[in-house]
Amino acid sequence: MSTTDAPLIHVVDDDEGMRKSLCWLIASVGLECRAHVSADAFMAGFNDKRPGCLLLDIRMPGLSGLDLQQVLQRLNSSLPVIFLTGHGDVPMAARAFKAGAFDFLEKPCNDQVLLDRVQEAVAEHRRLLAERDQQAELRQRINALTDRERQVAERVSCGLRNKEIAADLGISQKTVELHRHNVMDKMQVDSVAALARIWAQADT
Amino acid sequence: MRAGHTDAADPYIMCIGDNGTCCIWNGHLMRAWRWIFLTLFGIVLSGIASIAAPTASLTIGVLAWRGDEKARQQWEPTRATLQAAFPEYNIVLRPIGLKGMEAALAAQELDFFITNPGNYIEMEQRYGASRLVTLESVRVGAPAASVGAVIVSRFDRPDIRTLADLRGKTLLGVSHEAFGGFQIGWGVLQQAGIDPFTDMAGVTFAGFPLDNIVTQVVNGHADVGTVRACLLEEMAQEGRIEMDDFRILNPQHVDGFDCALSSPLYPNWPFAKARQTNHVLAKRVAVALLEMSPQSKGGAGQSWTIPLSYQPVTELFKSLHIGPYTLSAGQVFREFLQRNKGWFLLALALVILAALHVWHTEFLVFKRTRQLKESQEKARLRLAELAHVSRQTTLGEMARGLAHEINQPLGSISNYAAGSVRMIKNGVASAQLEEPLREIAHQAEHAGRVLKRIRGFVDNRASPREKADINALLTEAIDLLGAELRQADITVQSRLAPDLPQLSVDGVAIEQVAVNLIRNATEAMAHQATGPRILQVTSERDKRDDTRLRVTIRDSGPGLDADALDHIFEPFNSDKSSGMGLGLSISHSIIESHGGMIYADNNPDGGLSISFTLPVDQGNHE
Repeated sequence: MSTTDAPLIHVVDDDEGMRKSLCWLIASVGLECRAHVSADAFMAGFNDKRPGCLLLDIRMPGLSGLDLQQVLQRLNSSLPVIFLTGHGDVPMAARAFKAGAFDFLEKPCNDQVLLDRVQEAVAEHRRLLAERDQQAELRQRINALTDRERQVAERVSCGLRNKEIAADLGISQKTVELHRHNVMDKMQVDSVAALARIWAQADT
Repeated sequence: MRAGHTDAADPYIMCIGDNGTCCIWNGHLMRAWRWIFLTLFGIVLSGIASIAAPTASLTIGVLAWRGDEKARQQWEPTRATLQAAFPEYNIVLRPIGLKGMEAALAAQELDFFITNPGNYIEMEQRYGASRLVTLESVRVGAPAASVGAVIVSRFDRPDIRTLADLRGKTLLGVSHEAFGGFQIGWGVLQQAGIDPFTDMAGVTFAGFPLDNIVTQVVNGHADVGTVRACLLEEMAQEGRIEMDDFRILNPQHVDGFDCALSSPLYPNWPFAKARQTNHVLAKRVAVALLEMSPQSKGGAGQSWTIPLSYQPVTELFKSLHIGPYTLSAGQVFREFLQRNKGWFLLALALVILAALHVWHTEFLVFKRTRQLKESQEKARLRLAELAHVSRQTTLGEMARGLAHEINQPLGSISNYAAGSVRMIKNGVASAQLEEPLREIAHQAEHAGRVLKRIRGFVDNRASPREKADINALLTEAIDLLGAELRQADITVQSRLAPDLPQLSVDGVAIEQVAVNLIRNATEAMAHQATGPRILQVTSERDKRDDTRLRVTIRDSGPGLDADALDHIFEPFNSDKSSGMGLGLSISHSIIESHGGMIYADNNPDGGLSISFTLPVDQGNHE
């Protein structure tokens, strides 16, 4: 899986005409589209590793669009959700946005708007996926540090000097310098500022 | 006596006159001119005459009211007188009945005839007979050419004093045809307003001799008798009765007529000539008869006098409706009407009143029927109007679902169209556009169907009863509510029996009932906490009455408590937040107006069933 993979757009709508036409429209701009008859059908093959977005009808028999959004939230999915509704109302839109919807469009909507929003959502997903990848890598690097190295790295990114760190940890200044060298090496950074930045990103 | 008389002889009478009759006619002042006249007449007629019979007959018909022999005896004096006057003729008496008289005159078999006044006027009218002289009868005292009647009772009958007392009494006469012996008396009674045949206890005819009548009145066999005037006097003269024993009813007095009398006087019997009989001869006969005196030889008390007017007889016969004035059935009826005018007017008035009453009743019935029809029609129109308003309301409530239903195909079309435009811009081969264009057409059709369904549902056209398929109506209703049902997550189970008979219904109204019931079920299932939401729509023949169809809408909702169930079809009895709560009430009215029934029941396994029945089309409606 990679953020550079071709995007995959998901459409979930109980109305066959709407489902098929949406997918066809999306496919007409060269995007891969997969149509699902219900929330359950979508969840059965759920995978959000590939960049893309979800076009979701709000009112459906069985699991509704808003219900599905909650499920995805619980799964910590990064897949952007664009709601499509034939009878949108303010409270419903508010609830959707609060739950992190990417957008809320009324059917029928302008195809350009729809496709633009789809592209933007895909880009957003790519960004999120990239971010996630980056974080995962950072975490990997952090995980590669020893406990002592992590303690040192933590203190370096907070701006402590070697002497202070040595005193704090009760080790020699020389040992701190050795650990510090290893940390910079393992974390693949060449400055304290860079270390401080990715340490914050990793959100340890 | 009839010897020598033949039918063929009659035409020769004139020729006989021509052959010197005047030569033997003696002693008359007018002889000279008569001779000239007759001679001339004879010359004229001599061309027709061919044979002159030496002795010809003159036939005199005589009414034989007491038998042929009696008649011959009675009129022998007259015959003898004529025979003496006309020796060249053989004078023949021909006794004859009333009917025979008519036939003989019709056949021109008679030259002359003697008959009663009634018969005479009849013959005068029918056969142009004319009287020459009138009989004078020798009565008590002087001879008289008039006859009258006397109506008598016993003097010692205090209950009979005037004609008015005769009602309910019995009357005795000679015979129905007797002129002096009944008809004159009858005329007197008639004049007094008494019809002897209906107002009296009975009329008896004693026959001849007339004396019998008097005797029977004396004996008390009859209350009153009517006899020829002067009979009493004759009998008294003979010492057979005492005049004082009798009471003369309706006594009349005519100067010169001395007998007791109850009636006007009428002329006596006439001696008449037949139409074809020669006037000259007739005149000679008349002269001969006038010269006959009761005292003359062979006169035997019989004599003739100048003819009296028979007009009174005509009047009498007219009033009695006898003789020539006998009434036809129609005349009898008219006469009856005339006589009972009062009663008829009353009856007519009653009939008219009854007719008016009947007419009035009919009119009222008609009016009430029309009013009823009008009010029924008004009620029907009101229901139709209310149903229409309700449909519009329902449609308003369904707007979201319907909008969704239309929006879907529109959105779909929009997507295909926009995508196609993009493809064309990018120079895509037109073959690739086939699929989206086909889809556009498909989706547009779908939207059109939805709109048609909506329009059909809310149409306010006058909805006549038409043949309709209940399953088609139910399917239409389910389709109309498709979006709503899907969004409410309701599974529809249609159990529509195939081959159901047709209904004769207002299709839109019945669809409305189905829509109302399905929406009601949908709302009920919105309160359903657990389990699948299932709507069952069933159509079948009614198990209890196979002339009816039964439709059941069954939901899986919470059902209703007993109280709510009792009032479910009442208006404004809805706990629904939306709508007017009229849906079920209107459904109830619609089903009833179609002759159907509607029921609501809780299901044993939960939920509510509403079912309705409708009569199947028997094919005999207009």
